[in-house]
Amino acid sequence: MFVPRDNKPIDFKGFTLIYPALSVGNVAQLMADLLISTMTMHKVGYIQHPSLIPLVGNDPYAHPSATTCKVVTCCEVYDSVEHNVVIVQQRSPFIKGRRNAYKKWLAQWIRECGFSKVVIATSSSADERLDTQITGPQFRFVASDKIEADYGEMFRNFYEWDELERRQTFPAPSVLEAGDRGQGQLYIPGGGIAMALFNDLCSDTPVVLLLMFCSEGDNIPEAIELTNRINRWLGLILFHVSES
Amino acid sequence: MIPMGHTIFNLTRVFTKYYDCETRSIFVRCNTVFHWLIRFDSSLLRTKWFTTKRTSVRWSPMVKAELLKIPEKKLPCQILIVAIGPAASGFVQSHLLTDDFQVVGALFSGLSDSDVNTFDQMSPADKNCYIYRSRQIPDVFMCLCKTDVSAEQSYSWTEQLFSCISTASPHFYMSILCSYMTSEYRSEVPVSDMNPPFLRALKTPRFAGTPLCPYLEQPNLVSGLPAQLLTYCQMKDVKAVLYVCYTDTLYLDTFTMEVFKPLVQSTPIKDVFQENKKAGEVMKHIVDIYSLKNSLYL
Repeated sequence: MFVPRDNKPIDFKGFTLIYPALSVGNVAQLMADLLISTMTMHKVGYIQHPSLIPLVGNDPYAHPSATTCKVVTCCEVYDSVEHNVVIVQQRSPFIKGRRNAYKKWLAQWIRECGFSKVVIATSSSADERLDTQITGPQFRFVASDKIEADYGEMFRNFYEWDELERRQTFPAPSVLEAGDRGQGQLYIPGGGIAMALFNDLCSDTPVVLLLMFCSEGDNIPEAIELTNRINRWLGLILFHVSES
Repeated sequence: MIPMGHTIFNLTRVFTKYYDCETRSIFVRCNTVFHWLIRFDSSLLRTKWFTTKRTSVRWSPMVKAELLKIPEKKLPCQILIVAIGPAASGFVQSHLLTDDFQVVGALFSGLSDSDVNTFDQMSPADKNCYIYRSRQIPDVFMCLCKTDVSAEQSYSWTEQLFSCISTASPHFYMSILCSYMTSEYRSEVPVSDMNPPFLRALKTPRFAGTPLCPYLEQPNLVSGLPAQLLTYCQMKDVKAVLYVCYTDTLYLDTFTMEVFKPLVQSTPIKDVFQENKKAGEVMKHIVDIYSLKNSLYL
C-alpha cells in the first residue's frame, strides 16, 4: 500500500508517472536515480508491500561529505510539482513468487491515482536480441493506443525512435494465418514486470514502455541514454547550449 | 481452482490435482470420470507446494485479558527494544534482561531442520523469539529474536509484533540491535583497519538524538528483519534507531556482545538499564552454551 509521508493526502491527478521496472543491469533504476537527484525531487511517500524484500540505507542522494542520516527504504515515491512528474523508485528485488501480486496491486494503484500518462522504463537482455536489433540504436518503445494516437508520429518521425519488433510465436503461424504485420508477440527478456504491467494498463491508461538493450555490467551509459531520450520527450531538464 | 500437475496413480487413469484457494484444500479429479474423488484437509498442506510462510504471534493469558479491556486492542508502549541474532540477543540478555522482565508473548516463524532446541525452550542458544515486558513499568518491552527470520517473512513478523503493541504514544522509542559479518561491509578503508567488531547506526527523522556511533555510510545497506522494522517506524513516523554490529567472527564471542555496551548510555536503553554485576558471567555462560552447538569436531 502507498503510505504518504507525514500522513498528508496527496493528489497525483494529471501527473506523469515514470515507473522504472526492476530489470537487467538496473538501467531503469539508475535512470530514476539520475532524474531524482538532478531534479531534486521530494520524497512524498512509501510503498509498503509484502512482495518486496525489505531494505534500508543512508541517503544515496546526499553530498559525499554529508554526515546526516536520511533513511531510504525499499520502495519510495518521489514527485516534482514543477515538472509534473512522479517517480516510484524500487531498490530491492521481489520475493520469489510474489511478483504477480505486486504487479496487480501496482496496476490498481496507478488507475486510482489518475495519472495523465504512465512511462514504464525497463531494459532487455542484449543476448536475446534479434539480428536486426544488434546494430543501430539500442532504444525501443512500445505504445498503447492512446499514446500512439497522441505521440506515435512524433516518436517515429520526429524523434526517429524505433518500435520494439514483434516476434513470431513458435510454432510460427502459416502464411494464411499470419495476416498483417501486427501479428507476433512482444518479448522483453529480463524486463521484470514491465511487460505484464503494460499489458494490464494499456487497455484504459495512456502507457508507453521505453527500453534499452543491455547486458549486466557498468550500465551507466545505458542509463544516461535512456534518461536523455525520456528527457527529450518530456522536457524535464532543459539543456542550455552556450553560444560562443 | 489452480491445477497442480498430474499424478499417475495407475497406468490406466490420470489423476489431476487441483487446489482450491478459498477452502485451502486439495481436490483430485480423475479425468476419465468427472467427479471429485478425494479432498485433503488443508492441514496436510506443507510448504512443498506453497511457499507462503507466515509468522504467528501468541500472547500470554494475562496479556489477552488486558487487551480485552483496552478499546484500541493494543498494549501501550513507550520503549521497545528488539534484538535480532545471537550477538544482540546475548547483549540484551546479559545486560538488560533482569528478573523484573517476564515473558508475555512469542513470535513463531518456523525452524529449519538443523535447528536444535532444548525441551523447555529457555536456553540462551535456543532458536526462539520471546517478547518480554517489565513488571514494574508495563510499557517497556523487549523482544529477543533468535530465530532466523527470512526476508520473505519479515513483513509478516513485523505485522504480528505490532498487532498488539501500540506505537501511538508521543514518547515511543524503539531500538533495533542486529549484527552482520564484516564481509558485507563496503568501504574505501580496508575492514581490517577498522578494528572489528564495530557499530554503525541508522535513525528515523523523528529520533532527535545523535547515535553513539557513526551513521552507516553509503553504499552499505541493511536488509531483512531489521530493515523491515526500521521501515515500519519510518512510515509510522516514530522515533527509532537501528544499531548494526559488524563482526568478523563466525561464532559468538564476548567481544562481539560487548561492542553494544556503550549503548547502555544511549536513549532509550539508558532508561531501562540497571547496573548488573553478573553481566560478564552471563555473557560467558551464553558463549559456552553456543560453543557446544558450534563445535565442528565432537
